[in-house]
Amino acid sequence: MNASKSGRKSQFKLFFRRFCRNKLAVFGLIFIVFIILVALFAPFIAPYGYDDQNVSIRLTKPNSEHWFGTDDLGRDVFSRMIYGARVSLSVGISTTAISMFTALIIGMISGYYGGRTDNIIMRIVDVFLAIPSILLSIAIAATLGGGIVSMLIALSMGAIPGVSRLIRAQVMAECHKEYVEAAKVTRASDFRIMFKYIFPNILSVFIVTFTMGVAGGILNASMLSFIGLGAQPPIPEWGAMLSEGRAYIRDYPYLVTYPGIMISITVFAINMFGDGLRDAFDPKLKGR
Amino acid sequence: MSEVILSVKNLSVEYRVEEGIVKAVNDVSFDVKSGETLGLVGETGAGKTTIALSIMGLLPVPPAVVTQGEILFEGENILAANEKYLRTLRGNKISMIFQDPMSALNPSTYVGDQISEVIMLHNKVSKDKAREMAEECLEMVGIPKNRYAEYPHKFSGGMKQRVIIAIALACNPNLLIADEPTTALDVTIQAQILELMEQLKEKKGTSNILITHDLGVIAKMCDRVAVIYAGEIVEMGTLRQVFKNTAHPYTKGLFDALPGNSLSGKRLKPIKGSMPDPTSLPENCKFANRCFNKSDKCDQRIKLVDIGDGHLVRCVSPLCSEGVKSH
Amino acid sequence: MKKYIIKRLLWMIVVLLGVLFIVFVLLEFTPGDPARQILGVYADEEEVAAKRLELRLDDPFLVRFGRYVYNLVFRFDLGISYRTKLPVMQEIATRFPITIAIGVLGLVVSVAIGLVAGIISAVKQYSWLDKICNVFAVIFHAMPNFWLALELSLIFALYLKWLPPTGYKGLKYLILPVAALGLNGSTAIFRQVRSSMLDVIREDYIRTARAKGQSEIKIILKHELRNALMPVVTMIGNSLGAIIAGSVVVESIFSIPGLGNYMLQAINRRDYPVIQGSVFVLAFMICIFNLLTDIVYSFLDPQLQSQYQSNVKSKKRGVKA
Repeated sequence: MNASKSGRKSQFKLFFRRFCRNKLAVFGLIFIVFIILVALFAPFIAPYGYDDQNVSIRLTKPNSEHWFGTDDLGRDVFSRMIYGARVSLSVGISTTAISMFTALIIGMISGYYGGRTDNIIMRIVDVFLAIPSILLSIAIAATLGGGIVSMLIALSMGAIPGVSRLIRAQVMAECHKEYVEAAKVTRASDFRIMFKYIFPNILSVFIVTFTMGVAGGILNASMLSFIGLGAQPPIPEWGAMLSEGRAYIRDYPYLVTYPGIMISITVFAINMFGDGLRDAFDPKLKGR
Repeated sequence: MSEVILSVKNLSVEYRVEEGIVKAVNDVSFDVKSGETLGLVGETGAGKTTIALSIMGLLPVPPAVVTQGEILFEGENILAANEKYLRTLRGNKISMIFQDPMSALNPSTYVGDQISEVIMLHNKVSKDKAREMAEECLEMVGIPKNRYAEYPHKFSGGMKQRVIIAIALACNPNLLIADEPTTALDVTIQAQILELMEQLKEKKGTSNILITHDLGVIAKMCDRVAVIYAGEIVEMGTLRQVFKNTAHPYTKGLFDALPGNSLSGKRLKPIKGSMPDPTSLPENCKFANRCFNKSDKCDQRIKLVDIGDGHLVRCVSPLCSEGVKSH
Repeated sequence: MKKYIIKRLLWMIVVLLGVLFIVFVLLEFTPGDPARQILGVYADEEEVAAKRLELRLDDPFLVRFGRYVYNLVFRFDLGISYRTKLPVMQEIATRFPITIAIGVLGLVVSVAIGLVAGIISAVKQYSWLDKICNVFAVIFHAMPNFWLALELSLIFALYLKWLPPTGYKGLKYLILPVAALGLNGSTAIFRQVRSSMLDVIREDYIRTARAKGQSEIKIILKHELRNALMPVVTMIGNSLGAIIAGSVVVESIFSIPGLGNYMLQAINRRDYPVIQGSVFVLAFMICIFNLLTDIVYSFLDPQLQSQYQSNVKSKKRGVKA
């Protein structure tokens, strides 16, 4: 008991050391923690509210009072970006949570039972995969009409087919291994085998996919908001800010540039973090 | 007959990797004479393949670094030669057979084309002529030539190894290095492949270096044997010297660990412990901590000494010496 | 081989029916009465009721779905736009070629960049070239393509004035949108090419080729590329999908009168038949392309080829298509 505990601890240490060797991944982690803190404490950090309109100072260029300038309604861009972190992060994380959870169940059932069950589920997944996920999300969001909730549904639905297929492949690979056979011999229930035996073994893939999924979710959310199907005004989502600033791009390019940089850096950081996790989980894959 | 065609002198190779410096080959010297078969025997990780790759000039650089030594082939030092010259040797004068036939053939190219590729590289012949020659090569290794235009996945492991032998011998090389040519095969197929190799060696007069961990294969195929341990030659001599007058405790340990020796009902005697960590090899005898014959004398740098008739041993207290018959 | 292609073709028809079904179900969920949408707010109840009867909107769901499919297959009819009152198919047909052009050009650009960078990066692993390629890949991968499009137009059209910012009067107008989509799409291809090249480089048969005395450049061309490209071919369909989905937004940024832009306008006007029709046509395009890549793949992969050459063998091995 003791031995296994210390063994797990040293394994974690090894994992952590491998992770820390990748400097970009560490940067990613630091940036993610930073942006989460910013999102949590937005009201304390932001100098202005996200919807404090002041037409007399509309479209002022960046200055000491408004670091990133103001938009067409005189709102402080810097403050809106800080509040935007809340929206983007929570949308990214929650859509990924929904889609990963659903896909886990679908993929688990399909991969574990195999045969006809698998065939039927995967044929349906194939049909959904024929539509690019973002196009599917656009279609669903358009049907449901804009707004955060419909965006959440649309993005999750868009991501489920691809992830299901990935998890199924992982589960199938595990099912052929001997520990699963052994568990079956001990007459463990299917449910128990799936979540007590198989799941821990695909956990690393699950975590990495989840991380990358959050990055993709943020990107896709910004796209939906950009075309008016996501966050509605005055909610300060980064994609929505981009869309609002677009009309003024000629004279006030910062309205487009800053939110874009924000999206890119966040997605970049999460991707780097995910890469680092993957390499630390499986050192053999390093450099791929 | 006893002309030396390959001479490896004081070769040392290390791999510089993240975990440290792996000393894979340490001060190894041996000669291969024309027409003979030299066996390199040792455990996995002893450095046998690294020696072979050095001779081919195919060491992965980096991480591999040759720290000293030279390899003379036809008077030319392979280690100092340029890539262009090496390419004229490889597949032409020196060929190599690799361990795993399953993955050694390009899956998307006809097996025949893989043979004619090497023929066209080293001979100025037309495509048709090369194909003809490749078909002959296939027949030579016992594959009907109408299977020229087939992909490797249709071939069994033994058939693939035959194709690889055909590739290796297509240009009539002077030296053939076979790295565990039968390890990945079934026992019955092993015998066939060894048979084939022996036949072809006699027919073409090729010198062979046979790398294996299987003493049975050595006994069947080799004229001389070098036993490698932790990157060093610990014993070298003719087949008879090494097998009959075993002098190094490690070699003896290898024989004792053979199942065949204990048919009489004796238990197998495994060599206890494992090879030292190649990133931190001891200066003294590298086998000392596993040796049953260990003494204070072992705690020093040990040289390879001739105990008679060219029988070389790296041990301060060899189990026997040439001429003095041990039971 | 013919058998394989027929099999894929049949499967594609099933998939397209499935896509149609999804699209149709989505249409069901849209708020509002289609008859009312077509006639506008000023029509009175009787007119709406008459229209409902005319369109037979009160039939059961499956009957209407059957009719939708029938109309599409035999009459080439995807319904009528709420806004323009014109047949959706006709509207789509005029815009379709531009989107295909953007999709294919974008794909060509991303494959070209991804392939060259991926090969260089893998062959010279750990070199500075590899590092630069990787850095660019992760950066472009993290950028939303519509933002990249906006910034490109800001730099090259508004500041440098090298290229026209909006509109469509010839190929010149496609350069920026294609660049934005191509750069964005190339990152995925780059990653795939690099990683499958790295896999192949470590294969034993590459060592065999070296042991034959083959030169490095020929090893890359003869032994590595063909084997490394197989997984790449299978993902090219996905790439086209991503590029076409991206073109929905990018076309609107550059005011290019393509299918994507049309669909986006329809989204803003809640013109549902147009949205569904566009989704279907885009999915159709991608399916056709996937079929093509499957066929190309089947010629590249000897295992698949021999499987379909003789029946006996394929049964023995268990058909995996």
